Amino acid sequence: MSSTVELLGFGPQGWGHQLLLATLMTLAVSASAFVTGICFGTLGAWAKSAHAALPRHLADGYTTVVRGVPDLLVIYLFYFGGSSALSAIAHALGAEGFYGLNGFLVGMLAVGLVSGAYQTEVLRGAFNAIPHGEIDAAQAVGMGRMLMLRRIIAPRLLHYALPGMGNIWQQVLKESALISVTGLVELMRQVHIGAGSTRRPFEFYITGFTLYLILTTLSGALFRAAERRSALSERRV
Amino acid sequence: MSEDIAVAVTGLHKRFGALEVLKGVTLAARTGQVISIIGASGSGKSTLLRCIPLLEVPEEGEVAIAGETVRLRLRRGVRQPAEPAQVNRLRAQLGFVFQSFNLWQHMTVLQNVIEAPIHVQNRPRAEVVAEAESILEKVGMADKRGAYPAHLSGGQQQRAAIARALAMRPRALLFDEPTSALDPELVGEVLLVIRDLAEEGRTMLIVTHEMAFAAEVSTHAVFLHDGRIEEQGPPTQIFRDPTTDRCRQFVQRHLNR
Amino acid sequence: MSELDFLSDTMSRLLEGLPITLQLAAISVSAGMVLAVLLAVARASSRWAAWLVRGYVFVLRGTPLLLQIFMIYFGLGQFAAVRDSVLWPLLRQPWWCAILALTLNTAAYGSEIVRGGLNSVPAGAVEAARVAGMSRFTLYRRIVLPIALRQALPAYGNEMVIMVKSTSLASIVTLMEVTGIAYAIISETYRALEVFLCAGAIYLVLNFLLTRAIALLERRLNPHLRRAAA
Repeated sequence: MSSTVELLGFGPQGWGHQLLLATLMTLAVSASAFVTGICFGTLGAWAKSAHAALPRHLADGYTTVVRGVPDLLVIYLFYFGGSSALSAIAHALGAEGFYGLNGFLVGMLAVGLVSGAYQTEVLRGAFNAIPHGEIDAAQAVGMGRMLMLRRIIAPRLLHYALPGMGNIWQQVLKESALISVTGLVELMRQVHIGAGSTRRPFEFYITGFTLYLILTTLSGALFRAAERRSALSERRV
Repeated sequence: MSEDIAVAVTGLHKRFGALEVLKGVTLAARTGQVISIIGASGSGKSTLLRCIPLLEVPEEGEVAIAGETVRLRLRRGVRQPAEPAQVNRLRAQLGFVFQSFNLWQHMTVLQNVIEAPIHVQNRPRAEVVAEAESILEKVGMADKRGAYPAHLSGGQQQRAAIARALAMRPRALLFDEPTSALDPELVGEVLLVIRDLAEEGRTMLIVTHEMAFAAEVSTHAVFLHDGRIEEQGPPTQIFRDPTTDRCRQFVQRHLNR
Repeated sequence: MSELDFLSDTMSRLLEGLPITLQLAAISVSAGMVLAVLLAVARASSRWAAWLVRGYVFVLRGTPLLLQIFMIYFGLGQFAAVRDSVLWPLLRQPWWCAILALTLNTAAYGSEIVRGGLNSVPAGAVEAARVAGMSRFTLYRRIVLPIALRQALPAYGNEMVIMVKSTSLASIVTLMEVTGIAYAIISETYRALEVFLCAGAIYLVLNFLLTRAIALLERRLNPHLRRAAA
């Protein structure tokens, strides 16, 4: 019976390597999902601010539905549905057999879609928080739309959106654990495999707790540091 | 241990950090006295009043209510009441009216008034409600019994707060600058209520800036300066002919408003 | 089987899981709320209690719920002490493990919400209660908690919606609530979109009803926030 240190370390008996890789996988799939979410969120925020009713209603539908159903269901939708869709396309193209969507892609799209609904609200709120006078001033100086977007709106948007984004990132990190149901070997799955294989679930799950806590705590610290830097320009003299 | 003394403080010292706000204050209020406490901002008037129900705990000195001394002890270098139960019992014998009313926002006026008599003094509800209604009548708030504080003017809220204090059947009423937070037009209605109470012969300690009112209503006046009682005596002395210079300067500056 | 038949068949199968979903949600939310209030009050009382509570909240809010469920369901059983204890008959059942994990999780988030509510209680209201002679217990019962909970209601309503969705994780430890049944149907038929729409509709209706109920409760508890009668 190996000791805990042997079990989790980097020796021949140790699971250290796999755990490290799995942690990196968690970071990778979370980051991809987060960026996907920003894309969906930007679209959603833009749609919600539109004058036309259709984009607004679509965006409302998106956020309401996606925030109202369990993430697990969305993952199942993409996992099974994605595979079905992919297989159907492949069959139409003449190929045979079953084509599965890989776990990473499923996770990225599913968690990204869900996170995008929350991002919509954060981005919209952040955009509305930009004092309109600054935009007026940019227009008065004759800035073109692209320039204004790049130099004025984007930085201010970032400042107001950072707190909300920080929360969403932490949400995404934790939600990535659900992607384990697709078989993707990220941290949750690896810890579960190790637990089952060695029949020492407690030590593995505790390690899981520790690693996730490290990830979320570091993330929190990074975002707070970013917020502070962003706030430098806000400080009243 | 005279029952005739409703409230007595002896040798009070109170510090906030490095700042000593009370530097040895001794004062006694006999039953039926109306004592007004005046002085500049920072002279320690509010702190003195707040020491009586132990909202502030003095570093030195004693507080006695209806002849009973509050037992204090030293714990980790900080002085605190030895028996919370005693403090709560004694507090229930006082009525305290705050500058900012401090009504409980989630309760109606009537609920505010009956809350402590029922839940602290454990009196039967029917009796408390009946008495509350007549007290509200007295302060002119009977028709607002079902209203919430947020819907009332400052003067109305303060009158409700006074009713809440009265419902405790207190041995003494303590007023901490009762009109300082009110718009000028509303000050009068509150002063009217306070005067009526004084005329009933209730024991009252009033910290106030309203000099003319204090001169009219009190039976004894105390001028506080820099944490000490500079001068005290009948209102004719304090407000008309003070013996100390500081008191004279203060009264002259404020009475001619 | 026609599309409509499939949908209605799926719907009725899914609805069989509804009682479990509802029970999981109701029990964990109520137990979690009681625990949340206790934690929030404890946090405000002594220094070491505050430290314990903060640690608890930190761990439970910083790690995935799924991991917490697995820890309770799989992890505890590793220890002979647990297996021999009087709690084992409960802890080996997925039902009680899920309830425990959900309760502990929502209590962590809930305690922060209640803490926010407690901090919003005006100091003046507390002083007025103290000066009237209220004991600490009476003060909390009659003044502090009523005000704090009213303040916390909107945020807590949100947490309840999250909890309803979180019950879906119980399917991973074999409980057949709505999502568990959805998974079964999808893996049989591979008709993911239709099943998703049916199951999603059930959750959306649940959340809609819950949100409305909370809004109603908010209005009833806050007559002092309504516009004054003219």
